Amino acid sequence: MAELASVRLTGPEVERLRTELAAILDHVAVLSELSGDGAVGPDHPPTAPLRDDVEAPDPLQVPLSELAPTLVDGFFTVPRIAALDDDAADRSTP
Amino acid sequence: MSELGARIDAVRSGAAAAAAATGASLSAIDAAERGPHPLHAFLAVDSAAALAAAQAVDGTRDRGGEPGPLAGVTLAVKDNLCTLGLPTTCGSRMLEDYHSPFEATAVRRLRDAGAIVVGKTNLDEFGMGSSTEHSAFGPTLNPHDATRVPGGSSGGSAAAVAAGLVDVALGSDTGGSVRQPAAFCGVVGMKPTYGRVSRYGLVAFASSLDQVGVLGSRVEDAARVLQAMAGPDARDSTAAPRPVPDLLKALRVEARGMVVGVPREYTSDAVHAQVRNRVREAADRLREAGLDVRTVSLPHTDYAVPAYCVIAAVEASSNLARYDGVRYGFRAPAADSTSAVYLETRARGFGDEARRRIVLGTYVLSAGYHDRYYQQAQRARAHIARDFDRVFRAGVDVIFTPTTPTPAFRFGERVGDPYAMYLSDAFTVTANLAGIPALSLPIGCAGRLPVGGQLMGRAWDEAAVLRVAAALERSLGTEP
Repeated sequence: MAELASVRLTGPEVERLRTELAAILDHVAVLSELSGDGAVGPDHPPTAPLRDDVEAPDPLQVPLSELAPTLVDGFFTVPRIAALDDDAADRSTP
Repeated sequence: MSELGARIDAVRSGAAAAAAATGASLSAIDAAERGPHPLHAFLAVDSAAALAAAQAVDGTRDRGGEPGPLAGVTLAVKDNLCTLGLPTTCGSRMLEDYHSPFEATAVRRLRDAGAIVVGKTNLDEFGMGSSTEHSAFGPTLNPHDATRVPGGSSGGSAAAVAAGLVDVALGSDTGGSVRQPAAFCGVVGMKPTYGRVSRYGLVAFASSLDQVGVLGSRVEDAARVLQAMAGPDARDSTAAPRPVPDLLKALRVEARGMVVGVPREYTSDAVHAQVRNRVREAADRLREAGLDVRTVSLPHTDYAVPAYCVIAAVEASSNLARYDGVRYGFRAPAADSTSAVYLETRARGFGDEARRRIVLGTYVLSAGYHDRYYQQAQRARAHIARDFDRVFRAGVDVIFTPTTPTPAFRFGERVGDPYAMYLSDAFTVTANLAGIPALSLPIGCAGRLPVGGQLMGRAWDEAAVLRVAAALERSLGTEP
């Protein structure tokens, strides 16, 4: 699960988390008692309102160009991962 | 009119200077954050910007302009609300050096109303917690007892108001994170109806539960701030296109004759005896003030914490997936592959509680478990909402409960038992699950620790909640 969640855990952390999550899941198991479709009245919960299907102004508070330190050809740039330099070098080798 | 209301009038008329109140606030913050037992309510303070903003308010007034309905009000902002000029860390190593390029709508509206942002307050990491012990930068103390927690996750905001460092503060409330610390610190805290206040610029924890909330010393102060920041926002599709009623006017309407329901499920023997006593006494005061107080039932209350645990974890695991070390925030150094960047960044950038919720959320959404946990949690949520709906349709105007089962607990008491920590929100999570407005106000003490009483109302009926809260505040004489 930790791998699926993209979180690396140490051995002791895995054991601790396993115990904690087991305890939490024991408590939430009570949810299995519930049945029914859970239909609610018109006031609850507040449903997300639908807006008119018309073009709306750009919701960004500042222009796209100001949301990142650098922009190249319309793409945000981020620091390179060092290993990718090695991969690129390998691919360029005939 | 509250003391704050009188000061706003004085600043607007020129009888008082916004700069003076701001200077006093900054001095108080400086004193509280130094010394042998720093309160640690604040993660960042910008004195120069605050004083400049206060002088600008005074200048606007002196030139005959409109200084705003919150002219000179000193405001602290929970550090998961994006602000310009101040960092937004969310109490996490993941965003330790992050400066947002945009500002939350709620903050922007309060600045436009003349409020002065003095700093960012401490919180449990990404809003996940009930004690502020999960902040990556150390906990905040409870101003009433330095050995006890201020509550969470908006512990810094609650402590800042309780200690008199600021007039009001913003928090966020996903399962009680404004109301529970308000109860623990002896201040007023309100979560509006889901959709009443824009979430634009509120760093997402659980998007179907999160709401921006307000903390203040008086019910009237909370109403003023809510009035100024509520309303539709084109930048948040979940901010409802509903007009905001005149909440200050609502406070002045007589509460006599209103019907208050006290659910039997919230006053069991599991609740601390002195908390039960304060709630009973407060209910008596409401009766004496001419309100009709009756017992009601919300039969699915016991499913609320389990449902909240699942839904909040699921949504957190989705919302926190963006923190991968690629675009912004912390990136683990020396990671030797793309996947290592993700794994190491998230292992080192997140604290224990955030990682716990991410893994739990991933698990309950995974194949074979989705129906057993997530679908059942949503079913419970619908049942809980229907319980409230049934009570309100039967003629109850507001529901009155303890805010928390106990007063503030000691540091270290619950941090090693995650579910015990979640249980401190047992009475607050229901309002988030149902999307209804809820407010906590001080209703007395257990020894020297504050006790909070909670009022919950129909969706969009903040006015009724505020009206009864103001009546109770007057009856109890709990104004500071």
